Amino acid sequence: MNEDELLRATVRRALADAQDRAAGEGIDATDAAWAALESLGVTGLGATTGSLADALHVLTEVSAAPVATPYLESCLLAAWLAGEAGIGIPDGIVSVALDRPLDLVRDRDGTRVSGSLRGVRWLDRGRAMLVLAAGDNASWVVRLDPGALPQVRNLDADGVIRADVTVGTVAVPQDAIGRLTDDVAEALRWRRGLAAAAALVGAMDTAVRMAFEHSSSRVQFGRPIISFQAVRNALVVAAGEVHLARAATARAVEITAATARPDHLAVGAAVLRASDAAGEVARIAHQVHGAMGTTEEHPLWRLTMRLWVLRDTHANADAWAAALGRRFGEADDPWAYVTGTG
Amino acid sequence: MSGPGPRTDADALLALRLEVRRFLAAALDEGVFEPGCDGWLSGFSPEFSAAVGERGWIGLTWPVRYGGQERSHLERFTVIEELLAAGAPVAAHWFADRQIGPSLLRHGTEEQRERYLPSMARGTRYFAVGLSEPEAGSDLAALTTTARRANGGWVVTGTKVWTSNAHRVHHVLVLARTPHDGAAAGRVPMTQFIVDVPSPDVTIRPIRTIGGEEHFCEVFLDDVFVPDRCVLGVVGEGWTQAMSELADERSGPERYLSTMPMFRAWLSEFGTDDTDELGHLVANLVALREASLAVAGALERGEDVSLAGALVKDVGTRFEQELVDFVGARSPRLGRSAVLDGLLVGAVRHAPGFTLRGGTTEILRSIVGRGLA
Repeated sequence: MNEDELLRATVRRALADAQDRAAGEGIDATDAAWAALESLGVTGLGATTGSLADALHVLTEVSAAPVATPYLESCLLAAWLAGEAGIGIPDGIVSVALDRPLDLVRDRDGTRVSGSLRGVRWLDRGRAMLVLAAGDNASWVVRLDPGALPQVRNLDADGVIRADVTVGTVAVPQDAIGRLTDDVAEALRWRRGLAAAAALVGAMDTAVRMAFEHSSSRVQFGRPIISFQAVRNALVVAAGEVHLARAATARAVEITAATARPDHLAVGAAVLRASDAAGEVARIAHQVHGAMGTTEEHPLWRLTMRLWVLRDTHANADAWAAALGRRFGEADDPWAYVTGTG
Repeated sequence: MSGPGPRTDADALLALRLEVRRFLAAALDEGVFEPGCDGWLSGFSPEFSAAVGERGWIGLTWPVRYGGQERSHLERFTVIEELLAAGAPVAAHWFADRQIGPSLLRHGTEEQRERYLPSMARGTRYFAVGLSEPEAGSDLAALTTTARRANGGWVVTGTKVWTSNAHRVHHVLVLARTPHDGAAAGRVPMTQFIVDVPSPDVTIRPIRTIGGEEHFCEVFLDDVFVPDRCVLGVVGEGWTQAMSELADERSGPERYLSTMPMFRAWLSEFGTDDTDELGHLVANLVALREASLAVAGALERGEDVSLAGALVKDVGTRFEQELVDFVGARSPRLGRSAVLDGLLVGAVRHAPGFTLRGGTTEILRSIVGRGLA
């Protein structure tokens, strides 16, 4: 077992133990999982300690477990972004809102941000929230205290609480604001793409494994349903989708680990392949599970809904496709571009 | 890549890749070949194969003493993906390089290796593979070609079909039933025979495919005498040998690059059109390439690649068909040059075969489904 596999196996075991403990003691599953990750010391990976590649390996495992945790948002994005922007954040979960910048004004009275935020996941558990803001001829990262702001909470498809926040106009203390340089903005885009791909691969792996297990044990017409060609066919289509997404993502992570500078092609391919696969894999996993998979009791939805949420929240496939397609199509020799020589 | 086997650093790989590109550019300049789709099956050119062999690019991974270069699977991957993407006519030596050579190294006698491998590596000795039969397509175990013992060898009788390029090669590797002779009960013993062609006892009839090309053949074996020295591997173990060959050879770049010459021609004319859809296609291409490379790495380490290989083939062959759809759908709006037109027509005609050869998609999915259950 190499170091990456060891790390992943350790996380897998810790999350499984946490899940058992939560079920046995009647405590919140997300709290138990988060505590397990903190005690493993992996919540600072890729931000305050360790490498981004390590954090992505952990993320894949975290996302493969039924329990939902804010590892992607809080560790991969918020902790790192706070460090880059030079903003202090409290220990524990920090949520992020990265898609629409708030308006920022600076004058002799200080700094204020205004606007509203839609669908901020994990806000209910976050000790703080990082948002982007634009104004005063620059882009900014701003830390807000979510508890102080009016908000309407609802549930995302995967059962995670998210909130629409009316920021209004609030004053921001000097230690809660930092510049978002172009380099960091660009790096954030990479990170988010890589994170989406790694998380999608983890969730797809489990969804497909569950579908294989279910269809091997579920008997209809006197035999396991996997022995029906139509069912087996669908399962292998799903397995192929995951296989390719995994291959592309592994390569993107490897390049990132080796060069610390992400590669447009590798990251774009990983996030697109994973995002394109997610819907197909989720549909097939559900189809194979039949009505059972649509119940709250069955764990399948935790994985499939996560797939859709990751795709709809972080993968941003449209933008990646346009960017990658443009680079590819405009290359002097697109084949050379794909093989890393153009 | 890690593990045993030759290691290749990135600079050496890049140098090799650029060397292949220079070779191809020169060949195109000199009009040695016209890029074609599906060149590994229908681009049969002894001259081109000999030129590739002269460069040392056939049998790249084989031992030097048999004419090889003892280079890595990754280097072989690099060479063949460049040849395929350029639409070069590599069919003559394709099966020799891809599976007959490795099979001879694994199962052949010393005498056989010395007899065949050096000229195979030079690109002057070609093989076809005789597996399918009229009544044994996907159900390969139903084959009825039979070999019976004779003095100093075997007598083989039966009919093979879809044997690509049998009318142009020097040998057909024929899989036939052989007598039980104490083989494990319940298993039909089969054996692989190297049958020299042409031969008075072998009738080869090309089958015209859509558009009139001839690469498929029917091969009628009428009491063909095959000496013992032309038995490949262990008598009775032919099925296992043939299946492992198939499993190892399903994942190469020929499983997703068959229509790349057409796609490249389209890109050079219209590359900036519809970049969103292009993004999804290139992501697919990159993922396939990585998955195929991973199999090359696993082969280097001697790992079982049957499932990963079958998955690459399943997705890859659909991808090469999707490229045809992509270009075809845009043709009325964008128009097309004579070159692109020829490549598209060729791709359309060949596309139905992509998901059939080397095991149909349906059979592959059965294999993978059982393997993953």
